[in-house]
Amino acid sequence: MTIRTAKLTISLVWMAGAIPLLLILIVRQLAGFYETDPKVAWTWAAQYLFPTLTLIGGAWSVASSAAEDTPMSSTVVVWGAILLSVFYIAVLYLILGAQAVSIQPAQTIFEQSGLYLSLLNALVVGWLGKFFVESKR
Amino acid sequence: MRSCAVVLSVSLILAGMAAPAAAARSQSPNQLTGKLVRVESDLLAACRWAQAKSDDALRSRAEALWRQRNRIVGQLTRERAERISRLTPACRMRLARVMRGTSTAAAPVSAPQAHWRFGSRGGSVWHAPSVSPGVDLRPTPGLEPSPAAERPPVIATIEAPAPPEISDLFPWPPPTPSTRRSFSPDVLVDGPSAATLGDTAWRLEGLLRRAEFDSWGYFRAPGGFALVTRVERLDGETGKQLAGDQRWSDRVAYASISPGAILSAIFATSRPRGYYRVFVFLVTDDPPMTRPAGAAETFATASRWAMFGRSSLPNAIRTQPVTANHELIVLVYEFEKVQGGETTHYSPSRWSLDHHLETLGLSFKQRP
Repeated sequence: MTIRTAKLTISLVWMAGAIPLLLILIVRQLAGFYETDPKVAWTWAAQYLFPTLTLIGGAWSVASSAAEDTPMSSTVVVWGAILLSVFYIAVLYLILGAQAVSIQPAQTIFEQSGLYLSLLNALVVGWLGKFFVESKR
Repeated sequence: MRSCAVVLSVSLILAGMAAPAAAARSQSPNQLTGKLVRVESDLLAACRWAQAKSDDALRSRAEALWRQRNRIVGQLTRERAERISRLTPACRMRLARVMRGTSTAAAPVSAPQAHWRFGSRGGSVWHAPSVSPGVDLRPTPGLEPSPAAERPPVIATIEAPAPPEISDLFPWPPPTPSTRRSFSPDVLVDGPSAATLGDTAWRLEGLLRRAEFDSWGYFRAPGGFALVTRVERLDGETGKQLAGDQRWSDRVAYASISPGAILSAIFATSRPRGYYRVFVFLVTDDPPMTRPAGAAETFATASRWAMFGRSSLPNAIRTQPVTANHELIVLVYEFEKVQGGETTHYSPSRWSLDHHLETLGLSFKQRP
């Protein structure tokens, strides 16, 4: 797998995960799902979704080089980044799903998810950072 | 001469002791009623105060007020005292706790015992809708308690009435219902007149059994009783009670965890919601005003009401005659509860009272 293909794959995974998630949040807000407090939903998204998207966007904003067509030196970093991203996005979706069935208010679920999402997010951003730095070498 | 003076002095002392009692006896019932209301207002304020703290000043004040109240109650008829009294069971319990603190060593009492000790003669009495704030609880000159050494133990000073067989409907006045209407206490459209409150209760129970109600609870109400049904879940479209066990579930049931269920939850744009209903059948000769209350608070009360009440009517109420002033007031409380979200108490109701009664196959005799 070349560096370009790996970058593209990771970016696609995140786009495919983030765009529907944002759409769900928008539709839920419009439908009054979050009642009088939709702000907490967007604070949650800004905290746990946008840092990674910004990282990926930043990596793409750097001009591509010929080295991107060379194979990745470590496939573990690539597949690790992809699997970790998929797992993280799945957790984000589970949190959205839980809000529809839980007896707890959505706001509480968002707040409580911060306990584990902070750790996972740090792991994902760190791993993706490593991938993008290594791909530039 | 000296013996004459002694006799005269003794006579004057005796006359002096008898005079206040005679004066008290000569007070009219209306005066006594006014006094009782004033004393109980102070006692209610003491209850409220006791929620936050319990100190010697409060204890002394509560004891003095309680003695004064007992003196007044002793001069009134039991019925009149019961009718006037506004002390809630919770207030009595709180007062008992406060006053028990003074004489624990002399007369240790358990909480339930203390509770009954502070009831009025012959049972518990009616209670107040609210406590008037701002009442000064500091001991007043006229009500100074006796010194601690002279203070009699609680057991000696407080009457020990029979424990109440049934609780008062709480909160009182009841929360504003979604809809309500008055009917005849005879209940049945083509039945004979109800002679006693027991007849009315028995007829109501019969109708509830026919409507397949799971359970209900009785409370005391002024001049009668209140029968509260268990919270029922309704169909949000038709306003009809759900079938089977779903009718008695106060939570929305979910499908098992399956990929389809998870996907539908993720893409859900609204939370599950349930529609609920509670009936209160109030048989009283003194129809109350209702008080507005928060939706969540009212739902929390309504969903526990039936289980807190007595399963049957006590004999003392059952044998009371139905008078021309009695009426059966049907109060319906409708709620919409979003799972994990806000609760709505429909007031006015979403469905009419007739619709609610029709869905259960109930009909009541109109008032003359």
